[in-house]
Amino acid sequence: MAAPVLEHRRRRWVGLLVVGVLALVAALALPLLRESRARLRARGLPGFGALPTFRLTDQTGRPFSDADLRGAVVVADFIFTRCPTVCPLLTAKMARLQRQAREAGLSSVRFVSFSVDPRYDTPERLAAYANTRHLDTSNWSLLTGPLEDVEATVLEGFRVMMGRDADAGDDDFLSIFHGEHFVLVDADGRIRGYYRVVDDSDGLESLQRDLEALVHAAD
Amino acid sequence: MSPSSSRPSRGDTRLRSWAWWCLGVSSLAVLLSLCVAMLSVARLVLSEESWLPADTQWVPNPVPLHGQLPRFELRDMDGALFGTRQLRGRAYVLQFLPEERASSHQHLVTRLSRVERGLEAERIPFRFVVVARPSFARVEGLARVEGEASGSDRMSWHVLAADTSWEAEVLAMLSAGALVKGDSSQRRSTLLVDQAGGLRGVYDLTESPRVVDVLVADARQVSESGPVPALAGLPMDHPHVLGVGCVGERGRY
Repeated sequence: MAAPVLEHRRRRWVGLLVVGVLALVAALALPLLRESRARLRARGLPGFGALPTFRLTDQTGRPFSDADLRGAVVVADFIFTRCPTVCPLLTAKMARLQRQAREAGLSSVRFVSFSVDPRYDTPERLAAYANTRHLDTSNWSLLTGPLEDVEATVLEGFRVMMGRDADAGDDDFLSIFHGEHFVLVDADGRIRGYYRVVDDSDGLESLQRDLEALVHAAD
Repeated sequence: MSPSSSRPSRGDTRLRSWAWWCLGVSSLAVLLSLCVAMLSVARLVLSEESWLPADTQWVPNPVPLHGQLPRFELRDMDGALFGTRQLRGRAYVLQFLPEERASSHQHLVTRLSRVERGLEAERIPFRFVVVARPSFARVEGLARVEGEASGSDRMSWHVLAADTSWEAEVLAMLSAGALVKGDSSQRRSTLLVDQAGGLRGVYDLTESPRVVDVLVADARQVSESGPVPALAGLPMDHPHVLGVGCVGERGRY
């Protein structure tokens, strides 16, 4: 009677061992699979040219250039502080994205908001805008500068719309128009995507996935 | 209990043996599948090409971008400088006038006026920049354009004196991109330029009246799509990229 019992126990231990090995293999394979999927997603993203070179000023009054973004995955948007309509929504979406990136442990991400009304948006006004909205500026910079430089950066560099009606005065901020897209830039300084985030479409979710993929690919 | 009753029957033994065989084969199959999966993962990691399509759905801008038009700053009829700086944020049609015959100028300006009327009919704001030899620009330029575009908004037309070096840069860009067929067509090319100074199309308006309609259609697209090359996150029912941005009760804001 002892031999069959021993045999039974042995088989049970072998079975448990096999299950354990399988679980270990799965545990090792899953992160690999996740990482390889992220790399594939990053590779599959299109390229839209290089991040433009620029020299502007951030909300603290310090010079800020494209060199400050080197090596980081960047999300950029285009706003102005007097904007009563879409810009508060864009800022709220950017804040949400920043929070989610932090929670996901994506530490190497930078966020930049370019003012499309740079004559009005001084560094002080940008700082006040950030304070009023309780923005976390530890990895989020709000940029302004000479109109000529901002236009060259936003229009020719990012290929995002900005301008104002030809006959509008400086006080007529409702005449300012601009692209409402988020732009994703990889760690090598290449523009990898334009995302529409203002409505209920899946633009923000796509951006989150692509952002995560670019960060993992850069690691 | 007799020994014969405690011993499993031959049928039971066979059934149990089959069950063990099945379990063994299943385990081997699972192990094999895992090995294949691991190998696939390893191959994907090492692979340089994308094996899976990106999940993000991109809607490309319907009007292709042929590159950035070289910046310019030319003299207008009054001697004032006008160029890329003043045109930023606005889409425009750029017309080169060949220097040979005045009759061909007339023909081109007539067709250009038809383009303007077509865009006006759809309430699409557009600028027209005519680059001519200095003699044409001084003597006949705006008067001729005005004659053709009678009733239209003069502010949307700019007659500028050509600059040889800039023109050569543009012509080199057109030739490099195989956007024109030969030297003669280069010099009467009509260019569609987007709000960011990107070249979006090259047309020969003298070729056929249909080219006017093609240019109007492309200009409408550029006006709506803006300079953004592609966009993700558009609602499913959107037929094309909306790259211009904010649109409100006052139009764009």
